[in-house]
Amino acid sequence: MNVLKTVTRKSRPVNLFFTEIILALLFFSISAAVILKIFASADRLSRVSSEKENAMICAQSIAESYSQCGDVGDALKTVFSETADFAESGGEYTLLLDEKCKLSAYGGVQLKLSEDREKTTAGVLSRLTLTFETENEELYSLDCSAYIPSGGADDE
Amino acid sequence: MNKKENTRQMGMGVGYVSVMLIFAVICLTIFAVLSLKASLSNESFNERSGDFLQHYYAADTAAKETLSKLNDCAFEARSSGLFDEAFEEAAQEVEGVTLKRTPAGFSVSYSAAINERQTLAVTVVFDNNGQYTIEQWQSQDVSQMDDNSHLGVWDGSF
Amino acid sequence: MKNYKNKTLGDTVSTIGSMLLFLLFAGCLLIMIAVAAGAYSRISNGFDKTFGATASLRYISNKIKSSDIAEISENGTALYLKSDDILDVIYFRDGALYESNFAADAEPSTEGGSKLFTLEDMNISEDGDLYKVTVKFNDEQNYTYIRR
Repeated sequence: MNVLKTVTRKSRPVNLFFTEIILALLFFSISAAVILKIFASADRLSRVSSEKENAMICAQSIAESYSQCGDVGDALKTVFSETADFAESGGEYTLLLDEKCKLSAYGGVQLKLSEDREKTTAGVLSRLTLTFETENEELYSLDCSAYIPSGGADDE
Repeated sequence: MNKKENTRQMGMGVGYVSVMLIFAVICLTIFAVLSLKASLSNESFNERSGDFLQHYYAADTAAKETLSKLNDCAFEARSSGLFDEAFEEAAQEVEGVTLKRTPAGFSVSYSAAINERQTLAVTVVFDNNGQYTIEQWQSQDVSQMDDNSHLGVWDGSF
Repeated sequence: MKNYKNKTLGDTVSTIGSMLLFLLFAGCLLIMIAVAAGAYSRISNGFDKTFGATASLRYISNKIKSSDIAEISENGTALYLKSDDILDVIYFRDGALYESNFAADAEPSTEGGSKLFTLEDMNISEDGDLYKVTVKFNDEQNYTYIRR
């Protein structure tokens, strides 16, 4: 009986320790799942914010250049590269950019430009919509315009 | 008694793991919340900057639409032969425009609101041939535009 | 004096085992805390990195947009902005962007002024009918175009 008592007493703290560690791991795994989710969303938000910030600066450059010349191709050449060839399809341009909004063949950001030209009596008023997309989600969008006087419809 | 103490010191004590776990979870939670807060404040700052840019270019587009209308008026007035009269009449019909005759032609001023605090002020000068020159295309504070909203500074008179 | 004579081999193994388990657990927790601190610092620094460059570009472009006349000076490291009776000078000196205000008829200088942003370099040039504002921050170059 005495021997049995000693064995029980000896093994109790070890059992308690294991029970505690198992409970702790269970609690920790639940809290870690929640905390990791918060970290993941914070990281994603921060990455998207950084991309958006670069997209805004890029959008401003294109808008300013477009306002001055009234031509999408020329505006893109001014902002990105004089030598690059920007392909147009049905008044729309699509560019692949990296997260810093530099031209890149494997970019994660897609820039779509859509132009709408309206002939007025004495000029052309054109509107350009810039849309930055990442992972098929809209990152930033900006509408800008250009007015190029032509001296009248007779000039056409 | 001695035997009893010895047996109690076998293995790890109970409670250390829980204390460490609580400490770790608190640390992780603090870092996670701080990260999220930093990202959210960054995002809200970006949101405001992005909105301002969109509002600025919306005002810029509105100002260009008005300029386009004014230039059309100038073109039609020039075609009519009597530029001054025809332009004055036509330009006055354009919304929000202030027309002023100058020796060189007409000075046309108008503005487009960017937001509740800022506005895009435009001044365009049309010469007697109907050609225009942009004199001012400038974002201004609303208080700067409003002549009545000066600081109540004593001007020295009683 | 403690008496360890009654301990069996099983007790010793059990004690060492549970201690090792505890140390492993504590080590894992410390690693997780270090990783979390690293993630926080990366997120926080990432914001500072982009903010320094883009905020300065935005500040300069908004200043140009709200000025009557803008003039580039000192090989593109200074910009004189005239509006009403105030001459606003934005310039780069000693690794930072500064701003000073003067009366329109005063002689402007690129000394003193209030510090706006810490930058590695800033340059403003004319590109056709546009101003090109370039800033260098954290070894990265950013630029924007503004209408003249």
